[in-house]
Amino acid sequence: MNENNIFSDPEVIKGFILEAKDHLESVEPNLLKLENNPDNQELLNDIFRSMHSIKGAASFLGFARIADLSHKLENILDKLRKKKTKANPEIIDLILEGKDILGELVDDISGGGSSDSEETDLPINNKIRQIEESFLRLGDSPQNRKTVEAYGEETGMKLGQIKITEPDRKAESDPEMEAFLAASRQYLDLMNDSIEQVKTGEITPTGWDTYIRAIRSLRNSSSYVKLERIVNLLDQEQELIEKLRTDEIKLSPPLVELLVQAYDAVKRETENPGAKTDETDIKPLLSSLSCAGKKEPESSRLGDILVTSGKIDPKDLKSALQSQKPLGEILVDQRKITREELKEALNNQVNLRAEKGVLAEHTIRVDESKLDHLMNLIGELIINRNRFSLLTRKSKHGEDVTYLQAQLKSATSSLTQISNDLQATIMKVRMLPINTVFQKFPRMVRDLSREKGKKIDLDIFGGKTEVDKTVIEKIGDPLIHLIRNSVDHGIEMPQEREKLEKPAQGIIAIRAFHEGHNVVVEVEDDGQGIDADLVKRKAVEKGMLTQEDAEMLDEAQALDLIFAPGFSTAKQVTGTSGRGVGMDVVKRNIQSLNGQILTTTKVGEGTKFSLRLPLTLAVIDVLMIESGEMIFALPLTAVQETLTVLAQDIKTINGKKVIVVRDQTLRIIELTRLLKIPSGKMESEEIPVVIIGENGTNLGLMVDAIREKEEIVIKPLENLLAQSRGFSGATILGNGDVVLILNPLDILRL
Amino acid sequence: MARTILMVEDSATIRHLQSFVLKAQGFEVETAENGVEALEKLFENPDKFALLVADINMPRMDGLSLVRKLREQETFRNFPIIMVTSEQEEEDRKEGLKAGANMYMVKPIKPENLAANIKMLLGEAK
Repeated sequence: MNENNIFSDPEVIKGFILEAKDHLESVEPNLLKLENNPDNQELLNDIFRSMHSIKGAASFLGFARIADLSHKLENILDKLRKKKTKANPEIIDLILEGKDILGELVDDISGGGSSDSEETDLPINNKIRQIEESFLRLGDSPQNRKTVEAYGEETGMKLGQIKITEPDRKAESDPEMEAFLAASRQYLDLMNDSIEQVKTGEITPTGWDTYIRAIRSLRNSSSYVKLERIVNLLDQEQELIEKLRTDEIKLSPPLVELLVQAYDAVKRETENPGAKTDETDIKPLLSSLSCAGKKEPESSRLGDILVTSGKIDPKDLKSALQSQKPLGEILVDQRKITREELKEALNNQVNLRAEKGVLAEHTIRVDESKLDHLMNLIGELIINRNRFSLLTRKSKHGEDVTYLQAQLKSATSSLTQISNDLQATIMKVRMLPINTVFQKFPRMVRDLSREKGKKIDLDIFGGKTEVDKTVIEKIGDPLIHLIRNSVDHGIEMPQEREKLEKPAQGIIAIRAFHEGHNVVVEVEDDGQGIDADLVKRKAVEKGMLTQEDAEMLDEAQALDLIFAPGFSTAKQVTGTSGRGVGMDVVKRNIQSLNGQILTTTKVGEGTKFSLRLPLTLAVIDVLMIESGEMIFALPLTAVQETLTVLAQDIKTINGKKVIVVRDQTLRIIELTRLLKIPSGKMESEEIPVVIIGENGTNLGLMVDAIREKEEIVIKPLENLLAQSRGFSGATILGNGDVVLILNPLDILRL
Repeated sequence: MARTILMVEDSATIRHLQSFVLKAQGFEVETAENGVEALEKLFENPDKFALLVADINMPRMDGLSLVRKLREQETFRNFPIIMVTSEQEEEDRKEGLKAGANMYMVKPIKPENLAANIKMLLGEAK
């Protein structure tokens, strides 16, 4: 009887999580828009609808807290809709906060977490309570007020254990009984209305229909919950009423009185299901109904009914009672013994849910047409495979070699075509619009600028730019840091900006666009810019480098210092940034994405960070190089150029080898030396050099040979190997050889 | 015994969730997005369905008109109908019952209640 297994079905819950997230995602931008257009009914309706859907689905699935909170948010929104309150920033704050908590609650389900269990003690409870108190100040409906007050009392003793709703424990514990009670009230109301009509003689044929329908519905419901006494009563009543409807029996005052009595009896029985029967014995009533229903009462049959009902009733009711013992009562009993047991049981339930692995983060929505295309390709792949097996068979039978070669060649080329197409399609499936990351920024910038007292306008461009899922997942944090940085250190206070004859409102622009096989994401502000000299001074002050070294740095290199661990130009540490942990993390994250970060800044005018990232992390273009009798793959994004250097052109400065390329000195080094592997080849006259670098830090790598460009699939290095500096992964070549992929950024630091 | 439930509901989410739950309870479920579609399905195949769950607020033909239309037909005079209303529509509830619904359920609906109500209306043994 316990339906929990259905409602914790991972598929249903996953669906709910996805929907809820979609709704929440649309709520946020709409709320921000609403703040600027408080009278926009359409926006309000959109937000309201989203909240309403979340509420509906959550309560359907039994996520009481999500349902409750979304219900309360819906109430506020309803007030806004009805223009009882105006959407001022405080209310928007409140709804946003509520929306965030909803998000957390939903995330918690997806993580298999437990926050929807009332028994768990979480900080989120306190936040919910704070919000609810704010709701009260907004003059929420009395019904909600009662709820909140009630649980306020309850939590007086045990802080943090907050119960949001006050469900009727007894009824809720047995959903069927609860449903029965609710439904029976409806039927009784209908029956009551009908009796009133009967009394006044106003009842119409459709009125009789409604009466009979109510009786039948209640009869069936009672039968379902095994309330046989009610079933018996209603069976008799229905028989009588059907005869009254067809005028087979004439309506008379005693009959009306009988109907009223029957109604009272049924009402009594349903309100007190299975109660002791002595004082409310229904036998006389049953016989009266039965008599009235027959033109000629048949005493023998009446006797049968009396006997059967008399005999069966007590037993039946007892067993019904036992089978109906509400789960809640048992729970309450347990609670009396120990609360811990209940907690444990709930935790177990939670764990069971978690084991089912309801993880929304690992799902991806795919356009059906893309799937169809994939299926087609798989079909072709199978045909192609058969072609190969046919060729294998033929080769065994000594088929002509030239013929086989030609066939093999054509089969291979079609295989190439299919696999290319497969790869492209799969890549497309994994592509998501970068808006999935961008959409949280308007809110963030709004909150941050409110907090800082700055005025900032956020412009987003290219949100539809599609990027691989892996990139989407990892690019969020670095971008948050960069934007916070712009808000904190970039954009000046409004007064300051006015003094500088800049508009009081600063602008942060986020742009995304494709550039070749890369995606470029820019974060640009029109703030104060970064003063390279100031950066150098700071770095020297912090002992990160010596005065002399600092003077050697050009502007790009100086700016690069902001990405060094422990560096922060903020005059004081703020809540959001300035702890000197941000920028180096940004850099590390971007590097781990095989990406590059470029800083351009002008003092007084602003700063632009450009992140250049590969479209996907799964497949990259590499340059294959040979060094020390080994083959390495070097990501093409890092390769500036390749050239061949004559041994005599290599000069030595301060013990370091350099060459001159287009009037610029370039440091060069043997890759084998960097990687500390034995050099294989003898010194030769012509040395291939690969120039790698970023942000003006270039380095020439001397290698034994430069091979072809190739597209490879990255396999991550695992366990101990993952810690080895200089490599970002490995790949397998067509001939089965394993090749290490060099990490150019590591190499620049080696 | 026919156990196919016809569910008329314009919200895809609710439709999906409710049919899932009912299916899990062993019911066959067919859905319609509005009253017109529901009526078509019912008239086309009157014996197929055991019960109708209809939302009161729907585009094209609302739940009330749908129920009235059905009750006009002798075939559907005793056909079990559950009307689904949202809480704002206090008046609609009585209207729904007057129009001929067996019972109403107020949104948000608990799935266990829906399943239980259907079984109860169908007079099934527990």
